[in-house]
Amino acid sequence: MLRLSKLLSLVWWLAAIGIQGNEENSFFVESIEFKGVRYVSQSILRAELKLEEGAYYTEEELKNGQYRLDRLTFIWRSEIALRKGSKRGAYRLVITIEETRRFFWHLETNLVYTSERYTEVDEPGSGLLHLQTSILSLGYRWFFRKSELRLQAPGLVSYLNYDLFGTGAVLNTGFGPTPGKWDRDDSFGRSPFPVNGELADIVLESSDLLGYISFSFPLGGDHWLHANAFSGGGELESLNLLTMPDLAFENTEISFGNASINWSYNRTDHPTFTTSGLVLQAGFAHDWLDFDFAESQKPKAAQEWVRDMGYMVVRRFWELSPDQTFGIMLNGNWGNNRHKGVNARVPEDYQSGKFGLDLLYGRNFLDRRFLKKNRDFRFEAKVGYHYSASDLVDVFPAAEYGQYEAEISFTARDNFGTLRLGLRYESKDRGLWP
Amino acid sequence: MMMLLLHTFLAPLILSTGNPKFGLSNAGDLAIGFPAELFEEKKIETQLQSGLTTTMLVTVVGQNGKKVRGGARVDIRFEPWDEIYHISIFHYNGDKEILMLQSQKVLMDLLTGRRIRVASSQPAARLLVTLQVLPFSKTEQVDTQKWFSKTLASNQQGSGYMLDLIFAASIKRKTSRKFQWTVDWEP
Repeated sequence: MLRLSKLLSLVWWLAAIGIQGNEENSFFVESIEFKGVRYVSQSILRAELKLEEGAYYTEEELKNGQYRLDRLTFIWRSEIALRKGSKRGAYRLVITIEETRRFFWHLETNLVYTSERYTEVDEPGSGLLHLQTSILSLGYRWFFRKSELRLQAPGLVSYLNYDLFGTGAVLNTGFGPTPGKWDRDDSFGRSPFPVNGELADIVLESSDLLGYISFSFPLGGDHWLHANAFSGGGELESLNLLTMPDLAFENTEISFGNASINWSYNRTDHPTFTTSGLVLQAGFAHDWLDFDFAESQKPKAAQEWVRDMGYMVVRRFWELSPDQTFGIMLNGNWGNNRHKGVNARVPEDYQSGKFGLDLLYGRNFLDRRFLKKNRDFRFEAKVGYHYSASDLVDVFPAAEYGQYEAEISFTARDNFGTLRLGLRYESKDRGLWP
Repeated sequence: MMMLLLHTFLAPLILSTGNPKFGLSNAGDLAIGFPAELFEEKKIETQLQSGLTTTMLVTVVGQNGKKVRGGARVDIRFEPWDEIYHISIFHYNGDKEILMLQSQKVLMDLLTGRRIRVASSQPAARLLVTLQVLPFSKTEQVDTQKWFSKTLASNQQGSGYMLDLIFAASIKRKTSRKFQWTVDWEP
C-alpha cells in the first residue's frame, strides 16, 4: 500500500511539474547577427539556421537553430544570445561561432583479429590479424555564397550547395580519385575455395575513380528525404598470390555503382560524439558490380551482379550521465540478387539479407582542455551480433551464418580533424561467398 | 599519443570549486547555498547572461548508509530589456517560487544564501551534492522529474531504476557543466 501511494504521488508530481513547465516565452527576433565568422559564408549559416528576421520564436526554436549549426562539419561550436533590439520587446539574436579549420583530416583505423571457421573446408578454422585503415583523408575547403568546395587528397573534388534554388535542399557532388583506403572489403572476405590446402583473402586493392551525387530534401523538423548515387571502378587483388596462382585476381577490373533513396530522421545531440537521441533511416537501394577478368582468368565467377534491396537503420542513444552513453543500433537489409556469369554453383536469382544488433557503451570527454586547446575525446566499447542469410541453402551449407563482434575504440576530435583508433575481434562461420 | 591517452583517462571527469553550504530554512528544511566562485566561470556567466533560460539541477544523496535523497531545480533567465532576472525555484517538496531579481548581486545572494530547499530536516550526515547546469529545453524539463523520481522512489529500487531510465532517455541536450562535492552537514 505504501508503494502504491508513493507511485500515485509520483504520477501526480510528474503531471504537476509538467504543467508548470509548459509556460514558454516567445521572442520577436528583429535581426540575426553572426560573430566569429572567418571562413564560412554567412549565407550558408543563415540557410542552415532556418530562422528568419522579423518573426517570433520560442526558446526551443532558437535552440533548434543552434542545434542545426552545431551539426555542420565546419562548425566546431556555437553560442546564442538575445540582446536588446531597436525598440522595446524586439531582440537581436547574436550567434557566436567557432569554426573548424579550412584544412581538415580524418584517420580511422582498426586492428582486427578475425577468427573464422569454414563449413566447406575440412579444417578446424583459422585466425587472421590485420590492420584495417578504413578512412584516411586530408583536405581543404573554400566557401562562397551558399556553396562549399572541397579538395581531398589524392584529388577528389567535391561541391556542396546548402540551399539549392532556395528550397533548403542540400546538394553534394564530387568526382575524382578516392581518398586513401587500404582495407579488406567484407563483401569479398575470404574465399571458401581452398587451393593447395590454403585459403585466399580477396581484397579490393584500390578504387581508381569515383563519382557521386546526393540530394537531401528537408521534409520538416528533423525529417529528410535523400537521393544518392555513386559509381566507380577499381581492381581486384588477392593475397598469397605466389602460392595460389589459381586464385590470383590481378588485372581483374571491376566497376561498381549504387543508387538509393531513403527517408531519415535524425535527432541526436552531437554530430560525432552522440550521447543521446534517435536516428531512423529506411530506404531502397540498387547495387551493381561488374567483373572484367583478364583473358587468362576466364571463366572464374559471376561477371555481373545486381542487387535490389530494402534497408533500415535504427540507432538510439541514452545519456546515462553527462559523460556516459549507452546505445542500441539495429540495421537490416533484404533483397533480390541477380547475376550473369558462369559460376554454375549459384542460381541466377537468389534472395539474401543481413541483420545486425550492436550495443554500445561510451564515455564522453567533451570539450576537455589539452595542449592549450579544447578537444573532444570518447572511449567506446561495443559488442554486436550480425546475422546473414540467403536462400542458397542447396548451394552452400552455410547459407546462414552469424558473426560476433567486440570492439574498443578511442576517438579524439578538435577543430582540425578526427583520429579514431580501434581494436576489434570478430568470430564467424562464413561459408557463403560472395 | 601516450600523453593524450593519459590525459583522457586520468583527468578528473567532474570539476569542483569551493564547497556548497547547508543550513535550515524557516520551515526547518535542509537548504543549500552554492559557492560564489562557481558563477564566476566564463561559460556559466555567459550562459546566465544569454537572455535564454538556464536550468540548475541539484541533487543531494546521503553517504555512508544515510538515507538522505533530495534535490531542487532553479530556472534562471536574464531579461535584457529590463535587466532583471526571472527565477523559478522548484523546491524538493514541489513548492514553486517565482521571483524577479533586480541585479546579478541579488541573484548571487539567492544562489549562495542557503534559500533553495533540497530535503526535509536531516540529522548530521555526509552528503554527495551534484549540480548540473543545463540549457533550457521544454522537452527536457523532465530533468526535474528525473531527480524527483529518484527522490521519491529511493526505497523502491525496481521502479526507481526503471523511471530513471525512462527519464534519462528524454534528455537530448548535453549538460553544460557538472559539479560534485562531498559535504559534511552538521545541524
